[in-house]
This record gives sequence, C-alpha cells and structure tokens, in this order.
Amino acid sequence: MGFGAFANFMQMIKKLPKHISRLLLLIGLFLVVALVTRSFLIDPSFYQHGHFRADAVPELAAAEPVYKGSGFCIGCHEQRKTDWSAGAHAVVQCEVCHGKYLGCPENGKAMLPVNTIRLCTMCHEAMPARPAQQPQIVLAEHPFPDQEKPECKTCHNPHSPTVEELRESEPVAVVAADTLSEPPAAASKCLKCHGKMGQGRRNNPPLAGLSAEKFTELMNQFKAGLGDSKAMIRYAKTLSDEDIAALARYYESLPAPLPEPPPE
Amino acid sequence: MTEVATFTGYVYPNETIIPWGVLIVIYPYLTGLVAGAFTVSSFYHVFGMQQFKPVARLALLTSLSVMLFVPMPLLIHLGHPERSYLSMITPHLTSAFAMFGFFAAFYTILLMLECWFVFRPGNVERARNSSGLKRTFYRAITLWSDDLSPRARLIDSKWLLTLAIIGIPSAHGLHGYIGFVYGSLKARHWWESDLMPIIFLFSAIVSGIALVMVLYVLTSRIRRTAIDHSCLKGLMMALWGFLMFTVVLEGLEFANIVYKGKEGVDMIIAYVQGPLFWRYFILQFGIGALVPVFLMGIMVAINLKGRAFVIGSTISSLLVLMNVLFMRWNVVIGGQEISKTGKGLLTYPMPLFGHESIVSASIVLIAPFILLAILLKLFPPWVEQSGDT
Amino acid sequence: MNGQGDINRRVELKKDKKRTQRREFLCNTSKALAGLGVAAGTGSLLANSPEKKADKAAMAAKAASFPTKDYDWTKHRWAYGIDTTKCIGCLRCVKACKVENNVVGDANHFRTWVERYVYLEGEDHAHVDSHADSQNIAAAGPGAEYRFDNRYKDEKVNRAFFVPKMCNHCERPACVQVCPVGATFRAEDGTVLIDHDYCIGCRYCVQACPYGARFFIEEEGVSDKCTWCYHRITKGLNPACVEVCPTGTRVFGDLNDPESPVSKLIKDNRVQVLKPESGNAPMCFYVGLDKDVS
Repeated sequence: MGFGAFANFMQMIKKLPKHISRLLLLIGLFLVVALVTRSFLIDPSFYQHGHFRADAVPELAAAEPVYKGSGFCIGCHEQRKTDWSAGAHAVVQCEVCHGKYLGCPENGKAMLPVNTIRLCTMCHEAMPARPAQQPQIVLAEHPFPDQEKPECKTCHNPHSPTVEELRESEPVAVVAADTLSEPPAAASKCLKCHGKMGQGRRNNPPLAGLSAEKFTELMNQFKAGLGDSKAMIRYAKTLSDEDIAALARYYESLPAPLPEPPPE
Repeated sequence: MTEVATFTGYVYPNETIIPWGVLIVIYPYLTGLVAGAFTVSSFYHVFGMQQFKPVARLALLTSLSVMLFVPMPLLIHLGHPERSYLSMITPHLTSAFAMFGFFAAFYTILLMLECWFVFRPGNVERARNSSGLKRTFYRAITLWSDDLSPRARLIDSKWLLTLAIIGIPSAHGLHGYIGFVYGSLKARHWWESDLMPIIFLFSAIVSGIALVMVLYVLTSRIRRTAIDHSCLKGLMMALWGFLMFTVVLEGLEFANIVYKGKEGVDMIIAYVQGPLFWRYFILQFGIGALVPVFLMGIMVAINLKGRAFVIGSTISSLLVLMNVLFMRWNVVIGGQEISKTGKGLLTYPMPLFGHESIVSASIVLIAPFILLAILLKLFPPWVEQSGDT
Repeated sequence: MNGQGDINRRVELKKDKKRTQRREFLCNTSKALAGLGVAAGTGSLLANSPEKKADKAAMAAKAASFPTKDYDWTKHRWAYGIDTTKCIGCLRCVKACKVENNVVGDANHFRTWVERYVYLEGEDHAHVDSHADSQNIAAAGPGAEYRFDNRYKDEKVNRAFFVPKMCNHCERPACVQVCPVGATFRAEDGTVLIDHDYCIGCRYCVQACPYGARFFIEEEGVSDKCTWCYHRITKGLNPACVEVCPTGTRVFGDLNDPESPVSKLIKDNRVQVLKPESGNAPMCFYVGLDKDVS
C-alpha cells in the first residue's frame, strides 16, 4: 500500500513541469539541511531540565565566593574574637570595612581604613531617613577631641565602639591596671564626659587627682542647684551623699594626667 | 562609550541606560514598509484590481529588497549577533521575538517564491536574449528551465495566487507581531495596549502605500515614462482611507490612556505636554497625519488632475512616510523615556556616530534602496514581456 | 533484404525500448531512493531530536543531585525578606554585591540598589532618590563608592525611609517569558538565573521587567541581574548583601524551613510585594512599604 501511494506520488512529481519539481527539491533540501544543522548545533544539555542549557546551572553554582565572612577572618585574627564579637559592631562584618579577602597575608595585608570620618559616617551620620534606633551623630556637633582634624578612632575602638569601652588615649597609658581601685558604680555616669581615667575631655575638666574635699564641695554645690553647668546640677541631684563620697575617694586616687591639658 | 540618559524625577538606576535605541526604531519601520508594499502588490495579485497593475511588481520588489535588510538593524543591535541563530534552533515558544523569527523566515521565503514566479517568464526571456555571465545568471535563477507552455503558466498562476493569498496574513502577521511585542509588555504603560498590533499594522500599510507611490513617481521620472494616473489615484485613495483609520486608532489609544487615568498617568501627561509635544502632536499627528488627510481630501473633493495631482500625491506620501517614522520613534523611544517608576522622565541621548547612532540608522535605512536599484535593473518590473503575468 | 531489415529494426527498437525502460527504471528508482532517504533521514532526526535525547538524559539524571553533588535544587524553595523599617541606607549591600559579583562599577548598572523616600512637612508625595542621582554621585566620590548625600538635614521632614530593591525572582517571571532563546530561566529552587553563554543581548528581558531589576552589560553583550548569589547559596552561604547588612534589614532563607530567617519574617509580619498587579508573583517580601513606593 505504501509503495503504491509512493509510486503515485512519484508519478505526480514526474508530471510536474521541470521548474516546479526542481523548486520542490530545493525547498525539500533546504528543510533537510535546516533540520540536520539544528540537531548538530543544539547544546547537548539543552531541554534536560527545561528550556535552557542545563549545564549553565552547575556553572553558575561553581563560581568561587569572594567574601569569606567574618568567621573566616577570626580563624587567624583571634584577638578580634573578644572585642569585636562581644561589642556593638558584631553586626558589621570584617570585609565591610577591610575590603574583600585578598589572600592575606601572602597577598599583602587587608585594607586598613584611612579616612575614618568618611567610613564611619556612612552608617552613623545623622540623616532624616535613618531609623532612630541607629546611633547617629551630627558631625559638626560631635565632641571630637581635635576639631581641626576630627578622628573617630581617638575615642572609639572600631571593633567595639561603644563609649564605655573607649580607647585609652596616650597620656594615661603608663598607669598599671592593678594599682587602680575599682571605680564605684556611680562612676559610669562620669566617664562619658570626664574620661575613663578621669583625664577630662574637651570642655569637661579632669577629675583625676582632684582632692576628695574639693570634689565633695563642688558636688554639693551642684546638688544644691548652684554652679554654671546645668548638666552637672542634674547629675549631682541623682547622686546620694554616699555616692559622692565614694566618687571623691576614687578620683583622688587616680593619677593626675600628664602635663598636656586636653585642648579646648 | 555607553550613553547615559539624563532624567528628571525618579527613575530606577538601571533605566538610565536606554536599552532599545534608534536601530529598534528603524526595524519596525522597515518591516512596516515590507508589509505595506506587499499589501499594494496584493491589490492586483490577489484582489485582481487591474488599476494597480503598473505598480504591482514594483511593490513586490520593494517588499523583497526591504525584507532582506530587515535583520540588519537587529543584528547590529544585538549584543551577540553571532548567537542569533539560537532563537531559530531553540526558540522559546512563549517569546514573541522567537515566534517572530519564524514568521520572518517564512515570509521571506514566501516573498522570494512569489517574486520568483512573477518574474520567471521575464527571466526566461532574458536568459534567452543574453550571453555569457548574464545568461548563466538568468539560467540559474530559472532553475535551468525555459518551460513557458500554457500548462506551466497555469500551474505558475495557481502557485502565485496561493502564495499571494498566504502572503497577506503572513506579511501582516510579520508586522502585527511587532505591535504585539510592544502591546503585550505590561511593564510599560505607554506600550501596553490591545490596540498596538492593529495600530502598527495600519500605519505599516499606510507607509508601504506611501513608499510605493513615491518610488513609482520617482522611477517614472528617472525613466521618463508616463505615470498611470488612474493607478496613482487608486494608491492615493487607498492611502487616504487607511491613513484616516490609522489616525483614529492612534487617537483612540492615547485617549484610552488619558481616560483610564491609571497610576503613572500624571507622568505620561506631563511627558506628552512637555518633551513629546513637538514630536507627537505637531510632527506625527499634525504635519504627518492631519495635513496629508486634508490635502488628499481636497484633492479628492476638487478631483485634482494632472501634474498638480502628482505633486500633491507625492507630498502627501512623503509626509506620511515622515509620520510613520515619527510614530515608531514616539512609541519605541517615547516608551522608554517614561520611567517604570511612574515618577520620572528620561531623555534618550542619540549619538552621531557609533553602534546605535544617526549614522548607523541612516545606513540601515538607505541600504534596502540600493539593493532595490540593483533588483530593478536585474528584474525590470515594467518591461512588458510576452506572456507576463 | 526488407525482412531482415525489419527484424533488425524491430530488434533495435526493442533494444532502444529496453534501454529507455532501464533508464527510466534507474531514474525512477534513484529518485525514489533519494526520496526515501530524505524521508528516513528526516524521520530519524525527528525521532532522535535533541528534545527526545534530553528526556532520556533527564530521566537518567533524576537520581543524581543537580546542580552539584552537595546541593540538590529540588530540596529548596528560596525567598528573600526586606524589613525597610531597619534599613539605615549605609549601602554596604550595594557595594558588597558589586564586589562579589564583579558588576560594572558605575551609577547605571545595579544588581541591587537602595532608594530613599523623604516626605517633607506639608507635602503629600515623597522625594525619591537613588544612586543615579547626580548629588548622590557627587557625595559618593570616585572609586565606585555609593553614598546618600544629606540634602534633607536642614529640612522639616515628616517621615523618611530607605527601600532596598533587587530582582524579585518572581514565580511567573515576565523576563523568562520573553527571552527568545532560553538564556534566562527559573531554577527549580526558585532562583531566576541567566546563562551568559547563551544570551544574545536583545534586551527584551530588560524591557519586560516591571521592577527595573535587569540591565545590559555593554562590554559583554549580555543582560544581567541579581542571582541571589547563586554561587554562594548553593554552598550554604548567604547572598553577599545579606551577609554584610549590619541592621538585619535583609534576610534570606528557605521557605521549606520554618526556622529560616525569611520564614520567620513572613510569619511575624504583614508582608507585601512590589507591584503585585504585575502578576509576576515576586518572591521578595517587604515589611514597611509605603504608598509612594513603586
């Protein structure tokens, strides 16, 4: 049956004028060539998982990650474990400030930020759209020790920047830790403005070495509402007599700062 | 050097580099000319309107020479033109671009076949009457057959009719698909419209008729032959009718956007009243559409004849060709100048030189007509040979 | 003699006829064989089409883990969460993404970006700006740093916030639909990926994305977008943007795991997606969107 139909088909083709049959042959040839070429050209992994080149997926998955992550850095930089992981910047990954892992130390050290103002204000400059829970400063109003050349690192440890864990500045570094008495609990209010070692900061006078007598006298004045510092009046009113006495003893015991007074 | 678009308001950062440039304006313009010229030839070849016989074969050759250059702006535009065959071997069936590739291929083959049949008797004669390289060329083109018997001609005419009939939806599908690409894109309000394919189609027909008119007048002038006024009048009437319908459609589409007033419409209205005002209302609608409609209306009303009629028709056609070019520009570039945010507007920077530039667009526009000139020499559509269709 | 001549002629005629018949037979047979060959060839081609071969390969491969032996994409359903109430606009994510994925370092090509919305007192509509804004570009300085300037610091601001944006890895992605060749596709774990060796650079996908998440890399001639750091998530890491975000704005995770950060975000908050009317069904879930966020 098939052969008969085929024979009829061939008869019909034969009966056509030459140019038509040649044209049909050309078209047929073109289609065959097209189909053959197609099967050669299609990527073998195409259609395996859908209408795409299946090999592309493992290729994309195989690329090496660039950022190593802070866990990787701490593997070698153990000293960071204590101050960074426990501090307020535990949410800031090492490579954010230090750049991507370059293969240190073989390929050179990791980048150390130079312009800290530019870096830190990236997150901490007060901006209307920033949520209130983000610590923010207005640059012009921030108490930098050196207003000419403001530098965040003077007071803030970049790895643990909360002011309670301030960096100890050069002038009082010589004191051995075990000769100091424990600060009384109330001292936590004082150190923000007067420095951790009572060395004084900016406009706030140093307390270290101040006689207990003088200290008590001043504090009682503030507590009575006298004196030219509204802040001190406020603070003094929160302190009990026992607190003032303890603070007076503590600050008297601290070594007075070295000759250079903190600049105004 | 990538040109970055300037913007006002807010636009997505990635939008500042406009993806589809002037080459993608030229591309639907060319396919429109293809579809329109084919429509003119079908007036005679399918609908048997004898009035259009003088231009029928010229229109076919025009359609063919422009069609052969249609891939050019696309290939220049593509990031990897050498991979363009991938859309033919692994076409993504959900993509209008992929399906368009097949429409275009199918139509090109169909058009070549139709031209082959139409010019076959002439080619056989030319094969007989020439020698050497020319003779080999014509023999090859006719597939080494010189059969002009009545039976052969009968079969030829059947093929021709079939091809011409299939050709109409094919040509219109080819260009309608482009309208569909824009009309189906929900990401841009300026494009997203059910009317888009029809608008593109009718403005294509209009541009094709206008082009054939201009070419007819031009070639008649060059050859110093008489213009068949009844043919030209028929073309002008067709142009007039289709143009009025096109204007209505385009006006409807714009009215729809404004009337529906969806989110982002403020930006569209600001855009149309501002940066787009001259290109849209004055050049496209005003000078490009309403002026030719009135001009042709007057010519019809006073039954203008003679040289004035030829001049009036030519001017109308040139204005329409400008109109359609601006329409493509205002759709393609205009759509991208309205940001997806609905809050901003961009300005397309068109460089003078470069990949997508005035220069490259001009080359792509002119090239088909150089080919047409060659084809007109090889396969003269106006020499009355014995037994021509 | 005539008789002999006749016989000779008849023999000749018979020979001729035989020759013609033989010729015709050979001619016909060869044509028939050619036809059969064409038919057979085409038939075998269709039978062994790449589609059929792929089916067989897929069935064989189903047992094995794909795409890598340590990561089976059928076991995960990734999603992304963004809590805009926490975003501080520090842009560490934008920078990290560019470093991790080697994205063009200018202000016009972003896999992820952050928008700032500011409502000034007495106004109903937000002022919106992002990294292509000329003032922000000036504030950023050279070297592909990204920064928001502080232009509103002296203004009376009603409310203001940041909105990070990126590819939403939609469930019904318009970009995948329009790709003519199949260079962009949705993986079985929900990630929408791009095959840079297959993309022809037509930029239809760039047009189709309602979110402006896609862009064209002129130097490579291909389109690109956020891939949720596919090379990281297939190794159990987070995308780079999630990794560096200091405020927990960006979370990522497996919807199949109820303890993953994104599952928790969706469970604990009313979440929205961007442009739900697009019908693309995005998989980035936002907390804290606002009326003017587009």
